[in-house]
Amino acid sequence: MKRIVYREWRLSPQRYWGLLAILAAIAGLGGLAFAYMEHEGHWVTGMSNQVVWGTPHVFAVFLIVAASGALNVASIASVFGKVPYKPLARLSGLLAVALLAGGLAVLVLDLGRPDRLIVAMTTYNFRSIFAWNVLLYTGFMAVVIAYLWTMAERKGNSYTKPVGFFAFVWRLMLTTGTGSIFGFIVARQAYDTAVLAPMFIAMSFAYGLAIFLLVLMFAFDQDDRPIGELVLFRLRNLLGVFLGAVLLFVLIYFLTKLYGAKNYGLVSFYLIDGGIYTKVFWLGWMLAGILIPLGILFHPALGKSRPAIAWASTLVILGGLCSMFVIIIGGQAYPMQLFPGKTILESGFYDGVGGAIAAYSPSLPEAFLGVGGVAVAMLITAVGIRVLQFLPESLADKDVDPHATATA
Amino acid sequence: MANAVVRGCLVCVCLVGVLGAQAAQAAGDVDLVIEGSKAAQLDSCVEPTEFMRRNHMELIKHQRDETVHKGIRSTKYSLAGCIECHVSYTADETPVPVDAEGQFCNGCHEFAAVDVNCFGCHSSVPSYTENEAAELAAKEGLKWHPPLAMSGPETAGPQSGAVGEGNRP
Amino acid sequence: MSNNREHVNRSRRHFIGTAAGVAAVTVAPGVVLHSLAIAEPRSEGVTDDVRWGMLIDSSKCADGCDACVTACNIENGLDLQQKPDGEVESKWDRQVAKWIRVVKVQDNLTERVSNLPMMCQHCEHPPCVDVCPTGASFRRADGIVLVDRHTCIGCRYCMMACPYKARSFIHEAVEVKLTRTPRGKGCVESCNLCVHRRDNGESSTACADACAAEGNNAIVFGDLKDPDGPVRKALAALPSRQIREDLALNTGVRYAGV
Repeated sequence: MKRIVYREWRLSPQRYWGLLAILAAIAGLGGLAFAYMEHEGHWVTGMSNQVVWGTPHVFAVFLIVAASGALNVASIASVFGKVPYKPLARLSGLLAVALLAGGLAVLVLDLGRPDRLIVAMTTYNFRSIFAWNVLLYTGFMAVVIAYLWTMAERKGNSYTKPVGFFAFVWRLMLTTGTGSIFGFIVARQAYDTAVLAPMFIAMSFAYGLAIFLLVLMFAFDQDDRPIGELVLFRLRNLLGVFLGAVLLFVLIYFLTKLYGAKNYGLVSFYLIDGGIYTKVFWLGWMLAGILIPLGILFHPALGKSRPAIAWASTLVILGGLCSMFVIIIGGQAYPMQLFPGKTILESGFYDGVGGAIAAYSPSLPEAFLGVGGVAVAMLITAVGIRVLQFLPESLADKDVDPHATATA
Repeated sequence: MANAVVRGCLVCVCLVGVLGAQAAQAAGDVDLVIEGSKAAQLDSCVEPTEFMRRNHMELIKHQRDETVHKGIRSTKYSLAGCIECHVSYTADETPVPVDAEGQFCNGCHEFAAVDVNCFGCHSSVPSYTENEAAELAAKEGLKWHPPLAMSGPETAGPQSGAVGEGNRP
Repeated sequence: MSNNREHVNRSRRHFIGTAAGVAAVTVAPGVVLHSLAIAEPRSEGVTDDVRWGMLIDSSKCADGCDACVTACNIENGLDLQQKPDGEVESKWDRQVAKWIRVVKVQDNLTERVSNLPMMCQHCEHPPCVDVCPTGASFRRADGIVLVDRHTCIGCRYCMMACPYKARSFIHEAVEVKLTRTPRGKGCVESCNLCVHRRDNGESSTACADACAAEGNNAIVFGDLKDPDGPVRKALAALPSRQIREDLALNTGVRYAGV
């Protein structure tokens, strides 16, 4: 088997530092937004007592879900033994850690009392999936760093498969835990369903891979490193398959909800008359996020074009953000059904008077905080691939092992 | 040689600093109790002063769990009790927030650079209604009677100040 | 230095033990006599001998009346919240904390209209307690569900999980607070059945008192475990249910006529 050579990202210093400056500025804006929100209080955001989780959570959950999916490429190499994916494993691990760090940063900085983070990390109520998630998220970072060590350190190479397997199982538990944040909520009709956990796993596969593809293509393009069709088209096909899986779970979700008469209102809210949430669902998530990318990726001509693949990945990412918006904010906006069979005429606390959905509009501090988290993730990635040997020298067909699958 | 000289100087500076601080501590029965507060009229706090200086935070932290989780409010370690005793008053009997600049808590906490986060949520002046204040005075036989701390709707009457009903004060 | 510390630990434990005993002996006669003018603060921990609850008879809830809401706001310092400078009035109304609200519902078929106050239902199996990562949201032994705001990190997961949308988040720095009900930016809170009144030996909540003062008597507060108490007597007299009973939360607040 041909030896894989990993080398630091050789961008010219001006462009590299320019990139870092831009990312740092965006991250800095996020930090300022956090400082403003923490000092003034959450009244400066669009969040209220009806919609308690807003734009920061859309970004945070998206980044966390994508983080576990980004590790997938490394898992395919180590756990499933697919040799062409081996050179990609290191970047996959780095991206997983970076995205998780970005997502956690946004989540923690949005807390009402971020000064009590120590309390959150030392006091646990283990009935809460949030408490488990604190351990799952931090543990994931530790496991992935250990995994990266086994890949990078010659002495550790023999441990790559077992640690990789452990990381794969951990990552599935993490995404299950994230989906269960919503799946365990009995109170709201949009949640309270076991299908959210596998739906989030499918979404993690898709979004993580889309981000991985974009970062890979960008990094290699900037450094004139080749990506051969062997690797690229495998990743492309994989992305298509994962999008299909997401579509399947969304379909199952709605079909099952539709079977209960009590859910007619919810389904029509999401699909027909939910205003902005319906628009974002159909145009943002379904069309731009799944159907158009599927069309591009499996198109005979477009599917072979690198810019088209990059655009498809970008659309998947945007669709991912839209999906989080619909699930997290849409799920809160739909009025809680306190009195089935009755209509609320008046309420002192916005209980869905006449079926009205809860008002929410994203505010600038929330948006800056969320995007700041993305910038933090990209900053970690950029510094990582520059300073350490994460990127393989070449992914050209001739440099990647032509024997596609190692026998199990 | 130069190294030894530098090290020697540093040791001297540190010694001076440590000894000086200890001297200051030993010398300090610096009285931070404010004139005009109830505490000024009493001999000591609920515990000896030295004990309180070192451990009041532990007492408060233990008591808060007792109060919130078990509902126990009768002990002398009540935070409201601390405030009631240590708050000082202006000439026209308005209470001054106990964590304000120059007041009781601030005296040590500013020096120690420890944020008194309690008062983010807890009232830093005794905020009682007339009735509550009268009850407290009657029960504890106080000559000193805490005045009403703010002119909230308790004084204005029951129909004003309802939240969200359009008639906010 | 270490001598000092040992001395302190021993004497502190001894002292608290004695203090608790002395306080109990001192307060005991007061607790027995609590129906007289002066209320006695609790000196022993709460137990599950008592379960606080309410029966709300919506047929007695007068249309357009909000006495319970006003009384709760005054009792618990909610009317002292101030809109931050620069905040839009309509957004502030969605962010200001409210513990109790009046809801007017109409049946879709019969068009019959009911009014009822809605607050934390003090469930026996509270979803808010299940989801709190730090355990700040907890159920006291006497059935009151409340937030220990020393431990709350302000994640608002309990607000997502509450089936009655009973909780409020404090979105702004609080300038004026009552001694009996602390309140601060960044934590979550909800109706606590006037827990300061419970712990000081008083017999009812502000909302129940206000409703009685109005002459409606729609809210009956008391001990659900006391077969001779007002709530159980009222529950025996009227058919009642829990809101969202399909969730099987065994709420402490029951409704009749809805």
